[in-house]
Amino acid sequence: MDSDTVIRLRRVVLRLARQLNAASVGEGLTPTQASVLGVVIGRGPVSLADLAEIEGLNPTMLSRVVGKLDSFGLIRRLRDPDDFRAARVEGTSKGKDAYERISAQRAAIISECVADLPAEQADALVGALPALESLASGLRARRGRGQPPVDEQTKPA
Amino acid sequence: MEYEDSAQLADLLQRLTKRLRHAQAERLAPLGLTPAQERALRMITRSEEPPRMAELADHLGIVPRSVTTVIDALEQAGLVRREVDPRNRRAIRLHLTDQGLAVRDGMREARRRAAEDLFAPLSATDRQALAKLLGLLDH
Repeated sequence: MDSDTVIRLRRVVLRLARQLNAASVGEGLTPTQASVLGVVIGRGPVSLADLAEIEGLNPTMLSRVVGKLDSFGLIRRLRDPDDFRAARVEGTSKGKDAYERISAQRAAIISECVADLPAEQADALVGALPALESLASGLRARRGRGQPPVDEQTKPA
Repeated sequence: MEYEDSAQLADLLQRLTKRLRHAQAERLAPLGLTPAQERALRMITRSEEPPRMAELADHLGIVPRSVTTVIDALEQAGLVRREVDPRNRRAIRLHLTDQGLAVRDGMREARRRAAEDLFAPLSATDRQALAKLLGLLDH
């Protein structure tokens, strides 16, 4: 595969994501806390086990993050009387408001970056959203003619 | 670009980052390093001159005592060695051993592989176009 391009892509995605982190700082949250909050708000009640899996956090780290968000009043713990281990959390209305502000702030950061671009390139970015969406969802991109490109045939399993 | 598009792009970038970190963690797992050890190694690698313990603590945002634990483990694994700074006998600087250099290369390779996995669904042309477009945003 074209290593240079892939390395450039990796770098630019991480750098842009880092710029977006400024939005969570505005709410007094770390990027990890904001990310966990986003999942809880987006999914509704979610078990800690699922949350750990989605966020790729170990249980100790996750319970620290959940404890913080709980103490800020942004999420609350739901106890399952039948199964102590199946602890779940859900967002509070305060948490929903906070996450909406974070999302709006992120959109504003992107808008600001896009504002300087010529219309043609801004349009190209909009055109690239579906491809990015399938990457972010882990779906294979749709291809014409059902022909995988050569570089994929040599990809290690 | 409409507000919804900006919001979507922001969301996508965050999700992509998360996937990338997952993939990296999987690729890095065989190296057997904890996240803290990984970050310490990376910092030592990137530092212009071998860093001092205090600089490392500062950079990693952890207390010096925790750095000692991390460096002890890395030293025991033969990846890092402490050396007295010849210009300041009271300062200890952290050097990568040959084995540490090999692990650093392994980490780079793991990160590159993870990125390849993530961007594999795109054609080479699309990858180039995307790198260019996103590069325009990053200024």
